[in-house]
Amino acid sequence: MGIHAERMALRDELRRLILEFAPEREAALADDTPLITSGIMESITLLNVALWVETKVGSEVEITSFDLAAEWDSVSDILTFIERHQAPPSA
Amino acid sequence: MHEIVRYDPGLKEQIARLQRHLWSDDVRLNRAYFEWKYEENPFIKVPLLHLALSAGRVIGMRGMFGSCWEVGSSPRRVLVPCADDFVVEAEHRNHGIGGAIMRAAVEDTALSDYEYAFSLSAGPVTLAASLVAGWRAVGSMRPARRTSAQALFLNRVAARLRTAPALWRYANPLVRAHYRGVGRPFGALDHRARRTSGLSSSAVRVEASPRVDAMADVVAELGHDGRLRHARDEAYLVWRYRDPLHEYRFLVQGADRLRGYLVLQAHRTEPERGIRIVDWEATTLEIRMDLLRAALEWGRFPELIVWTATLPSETDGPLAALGFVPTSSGSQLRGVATTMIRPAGRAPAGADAILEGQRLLDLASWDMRMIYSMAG
Repeated sequence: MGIHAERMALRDELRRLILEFAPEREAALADDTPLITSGIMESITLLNVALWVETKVGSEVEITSFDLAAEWDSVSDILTFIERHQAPPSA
Repeated sequence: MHEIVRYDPGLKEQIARLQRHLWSDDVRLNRAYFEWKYEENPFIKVPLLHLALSAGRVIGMRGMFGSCWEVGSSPRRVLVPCADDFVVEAEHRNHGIGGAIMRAAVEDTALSDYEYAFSLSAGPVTLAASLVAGWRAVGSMRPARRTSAQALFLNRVAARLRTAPALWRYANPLVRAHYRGVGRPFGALDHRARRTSGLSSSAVRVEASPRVDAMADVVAELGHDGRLRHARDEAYLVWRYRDPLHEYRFLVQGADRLRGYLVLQAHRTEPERGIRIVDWEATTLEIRMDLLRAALEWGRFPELIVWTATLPSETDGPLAALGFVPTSSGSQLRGVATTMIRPAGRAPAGADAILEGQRLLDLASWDMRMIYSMAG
């Protein structure tokens, strides 16, 4: 799968996860919609997204070590975070 | 639509109902707990709570209960509001209400008398919400758990049920039924302690009431190394052990003058939460371990939990030898109790949050016991 297709697959998965907790936001949820600063993604949803991110990067995510509101404030931000932290594929 | 308001006594009944999410299923017990924690608190006399209302109904809450800390080489006492009891009803989540309560709680002008607010045992949900509201994490209290063989088996069965399509709903009721069937949490401890005339071979006794004067003397005798710790004087201990949501047992060694004590806690209506060691002090390691061994031998507890983050390092080996293991692999997202700080009523903390020379964001500046938090 190409990088773009991989990102699209992750994007769809992440959207499904967020909408599971906030189904009424489906129409309004764009890739750059503010999630944390707008309150769309709060406590339990945020925690579930964090657990999901851990499965994607393949290691524990220390959520206390960075500014969550700045780095995870949109679907696009979260995908970028994952790409930055994913372990490189083994040779 | 919702609004965030300060506490009003007319809302107490609704709070007791809302907190069935966190405190207990028993509304009357919740009301007693509220009154004890927020109205009879010895450090902040007026309940400092923020509530989310929707059509006049309480749908969310964040509270701040008072605490008093000692810090510094010539210890200074500092009053600190401690954030707790964060809850938003399920159908109102993800609408910005949690964030709004969190902000209101720390930005309230009523906090301007205080330097910092603490959050002492944040679970993963509160941890995530607090970080977004500008709280900074000091570190995990590193809970360790000792689980009996029977409880391990039960947990394995429950874990299997949780993944079975038709049976998952029976997992939690099974665990609950088992713990309630075992009897009162301290039944075995009380029975065996009575049978041995209350004395183990190491002269440990079990008492149902705290000897607050003697316990405060032990704390005073051990001295203070300047790290942040809750002031444990008689007045505080009298109030603290009146917590209506929990019951306590006090294992002590010594006669009029104690040489050590260990305090066990159990939830009054939900024994499946396990037994917790909430305070534990002794003049020597030997006495410390005698107290713990007596608790294990007499109590036969399915689960015993202790915070290990700031225990003396000399206890690490003996705890591991007695079967205590960390409750999580270390991930912050899986149920660790995290201590957090935030300047009260002001901007979020920078890296230089300092109180009497102690760096608040450094776990080495803290000397923590579970009793300081309402987990204890």
